[in-house]
Amino acid sequence: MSKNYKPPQFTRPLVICIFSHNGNILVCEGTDTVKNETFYRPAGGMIEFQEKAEDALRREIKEETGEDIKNIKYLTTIENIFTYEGTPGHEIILVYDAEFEDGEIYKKVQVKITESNDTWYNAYWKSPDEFGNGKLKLYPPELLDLLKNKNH
Amino acid sequence: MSHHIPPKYARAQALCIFYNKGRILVYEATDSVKNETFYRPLGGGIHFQEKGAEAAKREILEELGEETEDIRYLGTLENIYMYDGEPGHEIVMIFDGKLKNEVLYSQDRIKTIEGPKSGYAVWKNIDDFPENKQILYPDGLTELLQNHFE
Repeated sequence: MSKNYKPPQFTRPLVICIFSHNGNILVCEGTDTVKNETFYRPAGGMIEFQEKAEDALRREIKEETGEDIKNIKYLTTIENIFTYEGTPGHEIILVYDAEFEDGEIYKKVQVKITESNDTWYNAYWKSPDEFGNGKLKLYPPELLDLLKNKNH
Repeated sequence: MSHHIPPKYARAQALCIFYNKGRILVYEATDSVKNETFYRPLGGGIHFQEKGAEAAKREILEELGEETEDIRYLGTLENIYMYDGEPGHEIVMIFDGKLKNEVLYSQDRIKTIEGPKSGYAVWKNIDDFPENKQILYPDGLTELLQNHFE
């Protein structure tokens, strides 16, 4: 997430995708300079007007990684009420699971994520065990429980 | 930056199902372009920084003047539609709940304070809706009800 990103001031429907591989998940690294923290969140983005959520997910992942995806499964919906860079935000997040068509991305240590305004940031494959109290921050926080339940 | 609110966007909605003896509370409305009568549960938009369950409670209070309890999340539906010839799009969180005032379950119709043009909410049997015998919106709600209540 780029530093000049400001959450829009309405309840925004979003799609995100949990890509998993060898027990790791793909998360994008972001920074909040007001909270002075580094955080991680899955790739995804906004559902456009009259766009199906699955189509939004395909489009966002294509824009961000250049990759096509398959085996898309809806997991759950998370309400995310937060502040980012001191600005309040609100997202209704449809969470999906999917796979990349091309397996090469699973071998990369660092994945470059491109945003529409020509900024980019990095994503990494991380174990869910790296997140939690006193460890790395995963947003939205409800994802942690979802990942724990998924692995059992 | 995307700080402004786009004129048309997928709106977050919270609807509340009140299920009693095979029936749910809905209002009746008409699409004058499709020339159809349809039914829809009560509820409305999720305000900025408001939880979906709170939005459902608030909307029922505004629409019926009645308190709700035992609000429980059932599922999320995508509703991409045309209404009176205008395109619309909602991401709808469906809740179920109970009306604190039990007398309302035995009334044929309940007067609404705001919301439906008809001025009333009515109890409809959920068996009226499969195969679109009668039309229930948002799309996907009939199946969601069948999964939870049958």
